[in-house]
Amino acid sequence: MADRRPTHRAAASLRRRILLILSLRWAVRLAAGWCFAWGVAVMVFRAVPGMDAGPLVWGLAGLALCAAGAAALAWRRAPSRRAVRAVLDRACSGGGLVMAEAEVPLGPWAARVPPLTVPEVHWRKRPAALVLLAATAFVVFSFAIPQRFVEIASSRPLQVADEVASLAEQIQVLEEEQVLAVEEARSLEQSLEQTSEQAAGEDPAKTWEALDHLEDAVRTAAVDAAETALQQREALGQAEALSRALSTEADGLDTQALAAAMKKLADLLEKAAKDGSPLDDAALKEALADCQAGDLSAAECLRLANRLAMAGEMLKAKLLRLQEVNLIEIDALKLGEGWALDPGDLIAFLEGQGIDGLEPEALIEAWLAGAPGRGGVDRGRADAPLIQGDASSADGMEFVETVLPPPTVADLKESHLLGVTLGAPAVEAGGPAAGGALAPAAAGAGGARTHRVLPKHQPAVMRYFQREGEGAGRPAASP
Amino acid sequence: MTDAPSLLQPEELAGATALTTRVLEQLGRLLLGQADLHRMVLAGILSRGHILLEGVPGVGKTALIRGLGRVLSLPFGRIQFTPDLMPGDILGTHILQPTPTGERQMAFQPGPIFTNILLADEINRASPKTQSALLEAMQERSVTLLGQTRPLPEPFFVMATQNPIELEGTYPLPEAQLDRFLFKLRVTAGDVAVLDEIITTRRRGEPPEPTWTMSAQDLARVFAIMDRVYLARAVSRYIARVVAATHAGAAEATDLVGQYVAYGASPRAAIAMAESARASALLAGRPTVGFEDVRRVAPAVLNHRLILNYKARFDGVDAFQVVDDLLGALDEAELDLPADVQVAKESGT
Repeated sequence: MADRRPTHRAAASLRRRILLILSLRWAVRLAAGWCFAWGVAVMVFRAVPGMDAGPLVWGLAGLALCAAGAAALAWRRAPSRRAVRAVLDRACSGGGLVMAEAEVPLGPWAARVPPLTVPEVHWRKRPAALVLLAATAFVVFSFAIPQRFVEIASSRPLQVADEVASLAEQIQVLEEEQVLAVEEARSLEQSLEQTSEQAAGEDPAKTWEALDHLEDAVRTAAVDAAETALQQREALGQAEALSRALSTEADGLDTQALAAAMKKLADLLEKAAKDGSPLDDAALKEALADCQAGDLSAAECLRLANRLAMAGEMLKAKLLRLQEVNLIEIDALKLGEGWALDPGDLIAFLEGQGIDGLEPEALIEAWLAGAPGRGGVDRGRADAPLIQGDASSADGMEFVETVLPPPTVADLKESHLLGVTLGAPAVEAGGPAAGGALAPAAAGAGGARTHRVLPKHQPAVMRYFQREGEGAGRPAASP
Repeated sequence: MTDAPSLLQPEELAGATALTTRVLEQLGRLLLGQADLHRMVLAGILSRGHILLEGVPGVGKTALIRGLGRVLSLPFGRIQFTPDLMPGDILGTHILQPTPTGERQMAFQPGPIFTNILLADEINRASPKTQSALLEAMQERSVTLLGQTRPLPEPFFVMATQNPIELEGTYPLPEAQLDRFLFKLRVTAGDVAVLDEIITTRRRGEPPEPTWTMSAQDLARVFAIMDRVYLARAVSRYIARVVAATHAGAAEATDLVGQYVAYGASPRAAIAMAESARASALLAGRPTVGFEDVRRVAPAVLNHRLILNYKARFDGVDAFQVVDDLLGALDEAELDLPADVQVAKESGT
């Protein structure tokens, strides 16, 4: 039978209120958490291709679970009946009677219990309600947002437009400069376009790898073409120099030298005409045939030189264009004006050699290699003939006397410890040993000073004084 | 008996309440303007506890105790504590006396402690050795001399006074002895109206004779009624929580406790608080103890039992502030609700 005492009813009522508030509080919190998780799941399912977010509507059932969980949590946190009676006693100023009623019979005091009013239970619900509202809005948003926005958000393309544009420009330049064949250029462009389209992706590493591969192929082709062009430019320069020399000095050359020069010119033209050179035309082929036959006139040599100069400029323009699109890096020296050789007067060079036994081909080769000092370390041939001039005269030459530093320090550095004596050091007659420049000087010996030559210098000094022939034992001319 | 099967009958309680009310009236006639102090002193008496009164000279400490003894019709003894006071001067001593047969034997001469109400005036002026002579008497209500234990008269109360100023030449009471006092009450001077009434109604300040005194039988009856005042479990738990929370590091200790309290109250404080809360309920005419009774007696029970650290002295924080903060922070009902859920402390709010 239920307890019908007013205090019991009031205590039960207050406990129910507290339970209700606690349940609501937990329900709002759990529901907010669930809604956020639910919304995230919906967004993920809608964003991932091939996954259907429709069944996630059943997430609504999770709210029922939240309510059940909230009730369970509230029941666990519910205050004890004793505590509830204590609250009632305090609220009605019962002086302990309300609390005591649950433990001992009040008897006549029951009539003296103050009138009970169940106190209010306050819950600061605004923050929790706002969070729940936001969570609910998020769930609604996750379902309501159009699919295209979700897809755009999920399949955001990789930002490779700059790289693709740069590569496209490089391929176009290589095609225009005939570095790449048309079919090859089309193939590269298709690969580039395909890579750009597939860059929407889930796998950015794949895209970057493909772009790196294309860039490597393009750059390799450009570098090969540049090396070939540089070799052609060198050959063109030499051919131009030789043809200009022949246009003016052909009459002064003997038959053998002229034939050698023509043959060299033909070799250079043949070398420069390979691999898509600008010289690849009929006129040059005819000139090449004339050269090989040795029938090139002075006027033809001059025209040929001009054409060769134009071809060199075209190659220079090609290299500059490759450099503009960052395909190659060529220093200014290789592209500068220095490529056009000016080895000087051919006949004077040939006459000036005056060395018997040298073939005309070798002399022309030396002439084309340029005067000494023109090539630098990376120019000219390593097996160029060493041409000796007149011997220098030793007359009037003498050594410049240089005072050497005292050898004491060097002596100490070069010395080795042989032993340590316990006795006093032996002092030679003639005074104490001392260092310094004047130490070796002997009074009245006829020499102002004498040097003690170190062992490592002795062979060199001996070789100097043992030279045979003229000038031996005399100071040699200074270089 | 705390496990009373039933509450006091209203007529039983009414008789006891009428007696205590008359005692309070008589005390009010003797010492003007100190109603709250009288109430606390009577609560201490009903709890059979010892009381330490602290106040500047001339505020009526001695007069209150003397008047209490007269109203309660109990033998009253007074000891003026001085630095050269010896334990024997309080407890008594053995003296050599001739017998009728001509022989001599040691006879015990009881000291002034063998009384019902002992006024220990300026207790902090005696040496620690002499102060310690009161330890057994206050707790065991007996005196042991030369191996022989002699019980003190029932009831036995020590009403001590001490002066909070003029501390030169005094010996602060040891904590063990302070803990034996149920209450430490502060006696303050009355306001202008009270002083005016004293001057106009009392020649040379002499209090009037009591018009009514309580008999020993009545006092015993009130004690018996007091024992039957019911202490609900929620209230006893509240008392336990309050005392436990006076220790720094306790679960419910407040920041003030953690910051300023070096040592908290002992279990004896919880017992004292429960007993004095019962007395407070009896004085209010209730058969049960409420939270308000605990809150009323808690400062008097705890203030001398909390040992504050040096930081409290520097910051000017005293034990009363700490206790007030503690009582304000603890929820009597121990609902243990989340912070954002609260139950109104009064109905309809």
